[in-house]
Amino acid sequence: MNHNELHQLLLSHFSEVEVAVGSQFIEMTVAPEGLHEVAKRLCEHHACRMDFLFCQSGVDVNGRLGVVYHVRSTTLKHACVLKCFAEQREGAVLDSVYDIWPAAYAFEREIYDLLGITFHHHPDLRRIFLEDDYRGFPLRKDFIDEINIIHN
Amino acid sequence: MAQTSDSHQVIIGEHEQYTINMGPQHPSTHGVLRFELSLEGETVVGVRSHCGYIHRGIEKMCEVSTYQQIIHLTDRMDYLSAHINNEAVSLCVEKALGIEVPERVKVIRTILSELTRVGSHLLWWSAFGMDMGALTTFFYGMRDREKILDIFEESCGGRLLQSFICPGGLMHDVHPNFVARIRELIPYLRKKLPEYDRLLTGNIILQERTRNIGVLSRQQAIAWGVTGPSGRGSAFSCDVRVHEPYSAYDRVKVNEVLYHQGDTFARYRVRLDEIHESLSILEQLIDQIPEGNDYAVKMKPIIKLPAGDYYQRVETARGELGVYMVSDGEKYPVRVKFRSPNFSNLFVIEQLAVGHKIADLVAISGSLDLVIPDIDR
Amino acid sequence: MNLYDFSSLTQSIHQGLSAMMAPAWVTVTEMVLVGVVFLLFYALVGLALVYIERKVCAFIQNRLGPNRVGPYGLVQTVADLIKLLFKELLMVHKADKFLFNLAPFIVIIASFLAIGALPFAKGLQALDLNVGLFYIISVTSLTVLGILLAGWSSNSKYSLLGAMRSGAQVISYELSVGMSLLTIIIFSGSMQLSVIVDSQADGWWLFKGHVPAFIAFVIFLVASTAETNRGPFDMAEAESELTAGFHTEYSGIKFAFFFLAEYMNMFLAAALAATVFLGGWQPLHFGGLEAFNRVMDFIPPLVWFFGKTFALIYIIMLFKWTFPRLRIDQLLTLEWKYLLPINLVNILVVSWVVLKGWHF
Repeated sequence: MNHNELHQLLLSHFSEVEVAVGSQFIEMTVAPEGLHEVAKRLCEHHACRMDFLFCQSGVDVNGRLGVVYHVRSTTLKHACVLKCFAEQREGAVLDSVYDIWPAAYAFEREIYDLLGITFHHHPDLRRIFLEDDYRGFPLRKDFIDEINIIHN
Repeated sequence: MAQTSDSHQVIIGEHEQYTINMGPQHPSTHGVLRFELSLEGETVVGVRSHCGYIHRGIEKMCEVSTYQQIIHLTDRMDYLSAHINNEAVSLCVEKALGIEVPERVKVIRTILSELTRVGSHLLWWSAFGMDMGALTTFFYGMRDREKILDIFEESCGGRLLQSFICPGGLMHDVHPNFVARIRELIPYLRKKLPEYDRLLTGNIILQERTRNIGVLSRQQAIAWGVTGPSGRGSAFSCDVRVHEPYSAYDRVKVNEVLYHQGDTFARYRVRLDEIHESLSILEQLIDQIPEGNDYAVKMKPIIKLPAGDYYQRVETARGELGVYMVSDGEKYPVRVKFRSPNFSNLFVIEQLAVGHKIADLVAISGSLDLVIPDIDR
Repeated sequence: MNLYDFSSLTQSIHQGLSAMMAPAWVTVTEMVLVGVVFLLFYALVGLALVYIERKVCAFIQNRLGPNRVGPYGLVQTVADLIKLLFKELLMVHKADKFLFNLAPFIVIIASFLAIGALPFAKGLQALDLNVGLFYIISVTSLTVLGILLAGWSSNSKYSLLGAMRSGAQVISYELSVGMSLLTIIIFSGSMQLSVIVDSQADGWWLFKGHVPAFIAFVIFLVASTAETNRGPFDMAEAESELTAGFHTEYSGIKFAFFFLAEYMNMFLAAALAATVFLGGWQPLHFGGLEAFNRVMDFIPPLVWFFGKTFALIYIIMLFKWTFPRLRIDQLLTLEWKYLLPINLVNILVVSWVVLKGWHF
């Protein structure tokens, strides 16, 4: 399926989300409460079948914490991007997509560790890289570590 | 033990589990990775992997580095695919800027990537033999990898971490001997590879120990995001070189090696076959290097990407490496995320090893070809 | 007829001593003498084997091996031994101190005891028991006691796993070792090593005993490699799985004891195979080739004995440096499902052959 067809398809099937054409992928932005449902439909819809979550990144842009999902269909060979921004910075919470794409297990633990976004219904949400008693979330823009980071 | 205490209760007649820490300092975790194993006798009933022992915060460091500096950090992730990591970032920056690099650069980059892949697979084969207890393989693999490292040393200056591919092209031109050395290397490796099969592949002990061990189904591979040779051993067609050709891969014939068994032996076979495949790619490309000496396009000393986000994926020796960059138009990126192949490949071991023996866990983790700095970043 | 008979030499030493002192003192002196000689022999063979193994594995692996200390690196193992002697003896917290210290000695004593019964040449044998073969088998299997103690007392799970594996392995393969030797006991009709060697004066049992002896020889090689915990059966110290198995927690000279004992056990296995199957110190003889046989007789028996032993050691080393390691369940399957039944049938066949008098 090519870019335009996919764009049309997503526009027609996901009326509640904002669908935009990015430079490379079709980008969908979804509100936190609709995230899990949209993700599930992306994965299971017969014309989408986005069964492969190949990248999930936590971002801190414009003062908002969010997660960017890069998903691809291994059968239909198309890909799109799903973005979701948490409502507040402190105590940011999103739904886990572990039950849809198990690959999110590790990605979500990493995002939790470095950005401090909590994922609901994640089976084992612990810090993955840093020590268990580490304070702060280093990838946040307001994170300050006076010893190890040179600010410019 | 008749008496029971609060801290540990022992029930006679029940199956009793105990925990053993494999790592962070252990010969077969290939680095500082820790498996927390629950065992029942010799049988593994649970695996929990703990990583982060070599976490350096590369993604955080990228946020205070210019795009040229990021190149040098990527070397340190998957140090066995240094060229390919460099290429991923370079391609991403070039894509954002809309730069087309010269043909010559594309071909040389592809050749370097394939050499890296061969070298990495050779090292993997050596180490896998060690994991299986065949100590001689290590020296055979290292002997042949040495030839590749010599080529790197001659052209790039570095043997392991080259930082040779940079946004806009290459750091400098390749050595005049480059082509001749690779022409020598291809028949040499073709001659030596059957030795590997005679020494290890055909061995009945190896086959008994790897067949039907750690079977990863195609669905599992896709769901857990297992890419690269490990995914292709489960018939998951995930070769970026085929599906989304970059650099000069669009002009060569790349056969994707796929095996359907999904066991440790299939992953083993995929990697050995990929060495042959890479050699044939090298053979196709080595005569196609355009004449001349343009090795880079002129770049500004400070690169500023237009605001937006960019994603580039490449095929490293271990799977799909993705670079996700968010820029706000300044000289430093806002966010750089590396989707490293090993990070996704690692966690599937918690499913694969259960029910097998400790020795099988070693075989499975060996066949996934884990490079720990790439997991931790 | 043997040109080199050491009986007269040992007899004359005995008579010389008897003339000087009381019989009890003679025994004591002889024991001390033999002990000192064997201690030297033990150290020498141990060091030589370590050096040989390093050279052999180096040549298999495209390397040079030790080549810095002394000519061709000959003194390298001595240097290593000195290094090990000076190393700190570490003790694990809450380890069983007594057993922890005892274990290496048990291992090394077990291998030391067995040397006494080996016939190196005619008359050059310290203990010619009438159950010599039985004695060697029982003494070498004491090693497993030391290994189990080492694993248990180390207070480390890796050590314990290694020791348990070793226990299962040694006890299983003990059966095959004993049974394969039983075939030759049936052939020669004796357990006394000197008698077994003498019975091979006209031909080695490997050749005289038809196919059954050959099968027994192969089984003995496999089983004794397994019994000495050497690759591809080195489950007990499987480096990639258990880091170092039962001797993970040992350091310095206590580690060296385990190391040395492993090599001595390999030597013992090879020497036993050479004695029982390949005629011990008997030269190679072919029926009908008188001139050839005369020439062979001129080669000293010690050369024959060590030549055969080291040839077998070389084969055992080749196993280790080319094969991957087996898994513990495969290891036990190999013994209980393949080697043992083959062995039992083989013994039946041998008995039939001997009853009918079909062997040479």
